[in-house]
Order: sequence, then structure tokens, then C-alpha cells
Amino acid sequence: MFPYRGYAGKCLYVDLTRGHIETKEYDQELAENYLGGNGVGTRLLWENVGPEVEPLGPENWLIFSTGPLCGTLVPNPGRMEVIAKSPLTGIYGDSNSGGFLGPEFKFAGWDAVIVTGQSSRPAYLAIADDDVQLHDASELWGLGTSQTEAAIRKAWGDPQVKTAIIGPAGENLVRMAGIQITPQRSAARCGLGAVMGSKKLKAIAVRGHGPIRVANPDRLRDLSLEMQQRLRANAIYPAVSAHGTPGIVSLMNALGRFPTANFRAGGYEHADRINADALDARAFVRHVACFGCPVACDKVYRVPDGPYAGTSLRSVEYETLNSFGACILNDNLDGILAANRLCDELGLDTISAGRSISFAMELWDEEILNLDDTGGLAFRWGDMDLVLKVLPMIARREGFGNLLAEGVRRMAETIGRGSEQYAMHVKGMEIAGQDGRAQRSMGLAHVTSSRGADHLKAFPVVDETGFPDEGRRRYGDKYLPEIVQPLATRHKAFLVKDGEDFGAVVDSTGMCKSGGTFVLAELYWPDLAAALEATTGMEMPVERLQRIGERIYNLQRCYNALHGITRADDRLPQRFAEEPSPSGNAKGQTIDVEPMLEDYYQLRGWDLERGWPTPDKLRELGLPDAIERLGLG
Amino acid sequence: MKVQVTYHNMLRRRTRVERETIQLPAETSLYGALQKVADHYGPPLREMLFAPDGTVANHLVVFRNGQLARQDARTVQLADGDELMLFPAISGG
Repeated sequence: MFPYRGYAGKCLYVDLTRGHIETKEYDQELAENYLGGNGVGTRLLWENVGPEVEPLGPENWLIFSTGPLCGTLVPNPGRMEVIAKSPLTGIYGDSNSGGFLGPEFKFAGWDAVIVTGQSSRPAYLAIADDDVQLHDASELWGLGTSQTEAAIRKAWGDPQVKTAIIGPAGENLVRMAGIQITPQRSAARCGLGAVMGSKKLKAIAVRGHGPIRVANPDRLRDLSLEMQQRLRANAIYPAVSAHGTPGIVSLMNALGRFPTANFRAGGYEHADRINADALDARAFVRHVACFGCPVACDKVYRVPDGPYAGTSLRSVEYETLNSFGACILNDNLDGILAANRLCDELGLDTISAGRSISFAMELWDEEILNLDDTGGLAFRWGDMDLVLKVLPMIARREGFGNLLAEGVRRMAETIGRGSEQYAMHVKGMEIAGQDGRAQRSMGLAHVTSSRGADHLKAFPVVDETGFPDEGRRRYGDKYLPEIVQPLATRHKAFLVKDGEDFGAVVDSTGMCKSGGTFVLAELYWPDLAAALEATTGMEMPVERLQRIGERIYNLQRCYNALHGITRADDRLPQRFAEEPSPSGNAKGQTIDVEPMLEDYYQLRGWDLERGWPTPDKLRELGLPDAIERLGLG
Repeated sequence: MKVQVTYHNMLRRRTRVERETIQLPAETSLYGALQKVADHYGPPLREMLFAPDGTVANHLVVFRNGQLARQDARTVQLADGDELMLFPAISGG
């Protein structure tokens, strides 16, 4: 009998090759050492998906994993993780989504769903509480994500069904395919939609009616109320709640941190045409929120007139305003919304899809690509007609879209002719809407992220503009003033390491980083430790929780080390070191991550030569099997 | 002297003005400029620019001529033609 509350206590194993569905009790030791969500997924991947496994082969695992706080009373508890080996990077991959699916898994009685094998024909997994069945999905194959969701809801006769769905991009094994999560949220990064497509799994549909039992309801209620009140009193709350992530467009632009023209610059002269104010004035319909979230950063938008009239969508993020705006030199806001909606329908990651296109546009501008290469398509900056034509080509791997579907690293390898210097990625993952020249910690975070270039693993926010209050509240006076200064390098190794460890825990609980834990920088180790203790009944002193976060992040590094990743891979594109930023507060700045990286390895207890965890560190974290597997013994 | 001020995000909701040029006496500090616009727009804007004790709000982000201005606002001497951008606290992304 699984001893802890907060968990459903069991998980599903679905072998698509044999059509076999098995229920297993949730592993007590995994819960104690990795919590759930990201941590448990990491451990399962480590144990079961070795270096010999092809990301798009039947041996890869696709793990949907919730955490013990998911679906409870704590603020923003609607997140869930998807974990697999990434077909985009070939290393550890994960993606996190908000919405309502994570809690629905729990209500249905499942902490995790692990999908293995490969179906011989399109299938979808139907989970109605304890009733779990595989259905034929041949009639859904080829449909867009919202079409598929509508068809499933109609078939179930229940509008409250929650889904995870791939679009044509996932079906066609596009390496930047995401998984759409009810309602129009997305587990977008790392190409995990292609993993789902390789298994011929079109969708997972879930409906649950059960409770989540907690160890100490009175204590959890009091803690949750106190956390909710603190979030609402937080100085950043009003702007985040009013505008969501689009609210930072103009600020990041002023900082020189808003990638423009494929990172030639960090500021866009027409940013005010694609910022939150422009978006609100043009298309705002209403505020919406994910499960149990008091921040409600999500909004519904609708284009009222013009060529894209009627385009209606939610979850328009800063990242997409960048990738289909500044990064391709497009100031047509309606066009961005149309591209966003199209990516949602096709099941494409708006960040990586946008970066493939901005990369091609820069190569066109540099006369490295021509009409013969592109099949007659002119990749001129800002051409939204082209973008809207190309996105379906990417999703269906048609013509030049077949190359764009591979992501910028593989594109550069195929194109050659000096194109690599314009391919903005780390370890094969396209860099999102940040620029390390404008925020040093972000440059370091991009190279140390376990899933390739990524802002969300460490998610350093206190040094974006230098809020000393946040820095002091979270870290004390010890690291001030440098820790909150965007262009300082001192203490940034600590900021990144702490963020990675804390982020690993947040992603293992089911809470949101865009809510209280990172964007508002309000909830921290003691808050999560207390909430976990009240929910699960596990004793959870802060030191134990910190150790869990460190264990998870180290194991992700070990997984990547197994796949040949070393210090040599922890580097930014040359552009950031060689081309001074021409923009905003970062004007004249370049970035050299090496000194920060040296500090980071030392702080982590990793060897300086390869950047791998040392045997002492692995023993300390209770990972002796990693010593053996990496040949460090 | 003339100084251009641009209001962003929640601040713009309070001013209902995106950008304006304000007239200031010579040798006005950044603090003085903020007082001037707070006086003009009244409490809704003032409470976003200043703490109750009259110091500049910790969560106000000011750029002067494109550069972050994190110094004590009383020590920042403005010059004719300066451009100020004012942002409320917000982060992420």
C-alpha cells in the first residue's frame, strides 16, 4: 500500500506494441527521492532508456508525470511534465505544460502514464477513472489538434474531457513537434510530439472524478491561503496578472534582451507594435486561468478584422511575440496571432519553428540560401505570407519545409557554406527569447540547461532589471548587489545552480514557474517544503528538499554524459562572444561564459575538465549507480 | 529643459498617455522629474512611482537614454533632451 497522501498512488504502463495496459503501484522510493513529475520521469528515463535507444524508435519512453501538489489547494498547481529522450537534441528531453490535464490525471487516479513501444496503427488512449482503453484513431490521424479534441469530446459526449494531442507535425516526426494540452496549452519543447507520433499515439483523453487526499488538510488549507495572499500582495503580481508574459516585451526590448533578426540585435524598433499594450488594444477578449491559479496570466484574444479576422486563441506568450515578431522583423501583430494559432493546430513549438524560419531568413539575407535551395521560396525578413505558407510545409515535411522541420543544428549541417555561425542553438535546442549579452546569468543558464538552450531550467529573473528587494528576500544580503545586476557575473553561478535545483523541485511537484515560484519570486524552498509535508505526510526539512532538487539535476547531467555530453558542449553560439550587442542597455556588450561556467562546475562539485559530476558528489546524492554507469568507479 | 517620458504597461493605464515631453527647470534630478509627473497625474500614478515614505519605489524600472538607471534618483542629474522610459515591476520570459 502506497504510504503517502497527495499522490494517487498508482501509475499506468501502456505498451503500444503489444496493446497491453498495466497498473503499477507508485514506487515509494521514487517518491521519497524524486518526489514526482520531472524527478520521477528523469529517474525512469535514466533506468530504462539508454544511449542505444533511438529517440523515435519504439524503445524510447514517453512519460506523462504529475506531482504530489498537482491538483491541490496550493497556488498554480496545474502543471505536468512530459519526459522522453528528445529527437531534437538526442539527449534528455522534457516539456512542462499548464492547463487542466495534470489535475485530471490525478482525479482519475493516476500519478503518471508511461507509454512504451509502437502501435501498428493510429491509436488513442482513453482514461475514464479506472477504465483505461486503447482505441483506434485512424479517423483522427491527419486532423489538427483542435479538430481532434472536438472529435474526442463529441465521441465521449463530455465537454470536460481533458486531452494531450499531437497534430500533423507530430505524426510526421517533425523534430520540433509539441503536444497540445487542454486548453490550448502546449508541452512544446524538445520535439516530444514527434516521440508521440513515432508511437502512433494521436491522443490521450482523460476524465476523472476522484478526490486527492492530503495528509493534513487544515495545515494545507492555511498554508495555501497564506501563499495565495502573498502572491496577490507581490509587487509584480498586478502587471503579470494584467498582461501575462506579453507584458515584458517592451522591458526586454529596452534591456537589449529581445532577440531581433535572428539575434543580430536585442532590440526591435517596432516592439511597441507587438507588445502587451498593442495586443490588448487590438485583440483582448477576456482573462482566463489554468487550474487553481490566482495569477491568471492567460488571456483569450481574437483578431477583429482584416486578413486574419476571426483568428481566436489563448496562451499568446512573450516567446511567440518574439519568434514570429522581432526575430523575423515582423511588426504585423495579426500575422503573429495567425502564426501562433496555426502552430497550435499543427502541433508545432512556436519557438523552434520560428527560429528555423528566422535562421533561413538570415541565410537568405546573407545570400547563403537561394531559390534553388528553397524550392522557389524567397525568405525575406518579415514576410508573414511566407511564414503562414511554410508552417504547414514544416508540419507535413513538404519541400523545403522538410529541412526546416529538422531544427537549426541539422539545417546548418545540411546546408553548410558557413551557415553554422547563424544557427542559434545550444546542444541542438533553439535559443528562446533571451540574449546572454543583456543578462549574464541567462547566458550561463543556456549552456548549463539539461535540455539544451533553455531559459526555464534555471529561470533567473531577479537580475533581469535588478530588483534588490527580490534578491534580498530570496538570497539575503550576502550576494547583493551583483546578484541582481544584469551585466554582473559575480554570484551568477550560484543564481543559476540554485534556480536549476529549485526548478527541478517545482517541476516535480506540479506547481508553476510562471506563478509564485519564479516570475514573482515569492515562494521558495521553505514554502514548498511545508506544502509537501502537509500534503504528503513525508517529513520534508528544507535541506532534504534541496538535496532532492540537486539529485534530479545531477541525474539529468549524468544522463546527458551517458550520451557523450561534456564541457565542450556547454557553449553559446560564437555570435554572442564576437558580435557586440547593438541594443538598449546591452549596447556594446558581448558575453564570455567560461569564468561563470568554471564557478558553476566548482559549486556543483563537477570536474572541470568534462563537466561531469564527480564520484564524491554522486555518492553524496545517493547515486552510486551513476558512478558505475559512467565508468567513474 | 525638455525631457521625454515614455510610460509602459500598468503605468500607461494610469496616465493614458504613451509618451510626452515635459518641461523642467535646469538641473532637475531624476527624482524631481518623477515628482513632476506624479504631481500631474495624481495618486494613481504616484503610488506606482514612490513608496509611502517618499523614496522612489523599489519596483519602478527607469531607463535614462536607453540605460538602466538604478542609482539613487536624487543623484541623477537630467539634461536637456534626455529620454526616460518608465516600467512597472514585471519579470519572466
